[in-house]
Amino acid sequence: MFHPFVIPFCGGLLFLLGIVGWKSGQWLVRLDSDSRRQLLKGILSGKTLAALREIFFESLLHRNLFRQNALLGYMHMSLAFGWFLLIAVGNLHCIMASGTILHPPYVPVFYQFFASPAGLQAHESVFNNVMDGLLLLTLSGVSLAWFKRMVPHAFGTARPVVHTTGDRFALLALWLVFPLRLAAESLMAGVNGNGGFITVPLGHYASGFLPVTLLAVPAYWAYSLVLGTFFCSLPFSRYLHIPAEVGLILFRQYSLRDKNEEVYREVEIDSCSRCGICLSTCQMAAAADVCHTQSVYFLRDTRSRKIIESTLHNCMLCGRCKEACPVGINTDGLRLNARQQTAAEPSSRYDYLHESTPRQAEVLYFAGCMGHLVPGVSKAMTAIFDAAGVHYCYMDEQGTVCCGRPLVLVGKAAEAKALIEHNRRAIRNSGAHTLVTSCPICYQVCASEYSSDLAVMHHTEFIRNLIEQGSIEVFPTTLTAAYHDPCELGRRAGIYREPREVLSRIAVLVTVSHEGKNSLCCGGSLANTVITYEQRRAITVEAYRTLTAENPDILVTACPLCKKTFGSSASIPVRDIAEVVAESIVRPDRKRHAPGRDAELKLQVYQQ
Amino acid sequence: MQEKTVEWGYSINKDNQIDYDRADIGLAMKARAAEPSLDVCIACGTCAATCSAGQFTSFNLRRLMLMLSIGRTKNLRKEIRKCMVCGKCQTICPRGVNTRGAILAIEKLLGAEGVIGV
Repeated sequence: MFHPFVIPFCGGLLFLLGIVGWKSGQWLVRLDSDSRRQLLKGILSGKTLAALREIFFESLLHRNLFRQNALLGYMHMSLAFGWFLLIAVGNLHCIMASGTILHPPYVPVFYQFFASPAGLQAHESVFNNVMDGLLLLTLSGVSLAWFKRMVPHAFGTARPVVHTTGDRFALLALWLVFPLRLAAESLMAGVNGNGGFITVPLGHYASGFLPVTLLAVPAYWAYSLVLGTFFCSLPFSRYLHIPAEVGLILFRQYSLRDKNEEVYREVEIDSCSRCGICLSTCQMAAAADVCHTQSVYFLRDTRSRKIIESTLHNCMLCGRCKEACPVGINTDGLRLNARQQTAAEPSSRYDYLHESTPRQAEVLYFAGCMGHLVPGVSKAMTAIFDAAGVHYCYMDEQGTVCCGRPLVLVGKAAEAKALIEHNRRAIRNSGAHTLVTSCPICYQVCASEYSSDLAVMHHTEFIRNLIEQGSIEVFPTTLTAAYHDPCELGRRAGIYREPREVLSRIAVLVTVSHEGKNSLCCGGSLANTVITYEQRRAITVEAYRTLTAENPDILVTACPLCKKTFGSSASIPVRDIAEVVAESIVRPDRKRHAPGRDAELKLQVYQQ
Repeated sequence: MQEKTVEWGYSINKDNQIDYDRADIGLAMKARAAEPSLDVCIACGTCAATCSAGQFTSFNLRRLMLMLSIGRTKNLRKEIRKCMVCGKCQTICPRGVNTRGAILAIEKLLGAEGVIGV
C-alpha cells in the first residue's frame, strides 16, 4: 500500500513531530531535577488521569469556549474533536481491516484509496458511514469558520484579531484540508464505489459528468499537499497552541509551575491560540479604540521576539483578559514579567527617606498615596476606628512613602524594594498586630510582603469584622447603591463578598451587569503609562454608564483611585465604602433621635 | 574654619538670566516628542502640591519641567529619581498630562544620553 501522493503528508508529519519532539525535549531538559522526578512519579498517579480529562475537555471539546459562546465552542469542538475522531476511528478501521496494528501512518488517512472494494465486509460499511459523519462534523466547523469571517458578532467576537501572513497561510491550509478530503474520497467512491452515506452519492453524481478515474489521484495529491503544508506551517503559526496547550495542561496538573517559572512562561506564550477573546473583553479596545496592544498581540510579539515598548506598556493590567482566557494564560503576569525584563538598570533613588517610628498601637492604618488624594476616605476610617474604640495609629498621616506597587507595575520592581523595606521597618517599629490599608493597590504589596509580620487587611474586611463583632452598628437606609469592584481588590485579591456584606446592611444593592470577576476597570489604572487622557476618559465614561445603568442613588467603591477617577465624570455621588459606613454609624449619644434617618439624610445631601 | 565675612544684611544672587540663544533645549524637545501631553502643561503646580515624594524632599515636578523647558538640566537626573511614580500627580492634573509617562520617558532619555545634566 503505497502511492507517491502520500509523500507530502508524510514529510509534513515527520517535520511536525520532529519540531514538537525537539521543543518538548527542550522543556523537559530545562526542568529542574526535582520537578523531573515529580513528573516521573506523577505519571503513575491520578494526576495523569486528571490531565487526560482536562486535555479531553479543553483541547478537544473546548468547554471553556462553550461557556463564552455556544457557536464559538461548537466551531472549535467540531474541528478539534471531529478531526481527532477521524484519526482515531480511521486507525481503528485500519486495524480491524488489516488485522495488525503495524501499518504506515498514512494508510488510515488515505484509507479509501488503498481499500479494496472486493473485501468489503459488514463492519466496513459501518466504519465508512461513521467516517462520513465525522467528516460532516468537521465540515460544519469549517463552514462556521467561514461564516465567522462574515458575522463575527454571532460568535461573541466584538473585534476580530488581525492575523499575520503566516497565520493566514496556515488557516487557509486548515480550511482546505476537509473539503479536499471530501472531494478526494467522493471521487474515489465514484471509481470503486467504496464509501459512506455522503461520499458514495457524491461520487456517483460526479461520475455522471466528470472523469473520476482521472481526477481521483490529483485530488488525493491536493489533499496530501494541503495536509503537509498545514503540518509544516503549524509550528510557525498560532496553531502551535495545539501541542503547546497539552504541555501547559501537563505543567499545571503535575504542579511543575512553581519551580520552573521561566519554562512555564514559554509554554504559556506558545499556548496562545490568538482566538481574540482578550481583544473582545478589553475595555481599551471597546471604549478607547486602542486595539493593537492586547494580550493576543503582546503574546504574539513576545513569541516572535518583536515586542515594542509601546505595546508592552499600553495595558491597564486590569486582569479582565486573564479571567476570560479559555486557555488560562496568566496574561497580566506575563506582561508584568516582560516589563521587568526590559526595564533599565535599577538606580538608587530614595536615600532621602529616613527611618520612622509610628506611635505604638494595635492597629496600623495606611491610607496610601491615593488615600491622601481623597482625604474623605481616611477621615471616614479614623471616624470608624474612633467609634469602634480601636487602638490605632494613622501611620502615614504626615506623608506617605509609596507602597511600591506603582513602580512594580511599570517594571521597576528593584526600585520598589527600597520603598517596601522602608515601610516594613516602620510597620515593625509600630509593634502593631494588624495593618489596615484603604487602597487596594497598597493592599497587594502589603499582603504579599508583610503578612508574615502581621495581619494585613483591606478596610472592607476590617469594617466587616467590626460590624460582625458588634464594635460598630450601622443603620439601614433606603438608598440604592451600585457597587464597583476595583480590579486590584476583586480580581487580584479575590475580595468580593466583604464589601457587599457591609454595603447591604446600609443600602439596597442594585445589580450591575459587570460585577465580580467580570467587573470593569475604572480607567484610572497606574499600570498604563502610554494611554492618553482622552482614552482614559472614554473608558471611565463607558464604565460609569454601565455601572449606573440601573439608576442607583450612589456609586460605591472600595478604592480611592476608582473613587477619584469616577468622581470626575459622575452625576451621582461616588463614595468609598468607608465613607458610607462612617455616615451610617449609630452613635450612642444620638440613639434617641432615629440615627438611621440621620445617616440617610446626610448621604442625600451629597446628591443635591 | 572659614573666615566669616561681614554680614551686610543682603547678598548677591547668582545671575539667573536665561539666554535662549545658548540654552540647550534638546532634551526638552525630545521629552515632548516622547510624551506629547507635556505640551498642554500650564505649570499650575498641582502636581507638586500633591506629590508624595515632595513631603520628604525638595522634589518638585513643576519646577523640574520649567527648568527642563529652559534647558537647565543640571540637577535633573538627581532630582527626577526622587519620584516614587505613585501617580497622584497624574490623577489630579487638571490638564490631563501623562506625568508618569513623562517622568519615565525623561529618565530613559537621561539614561540614553549618559552625561546630560549630571
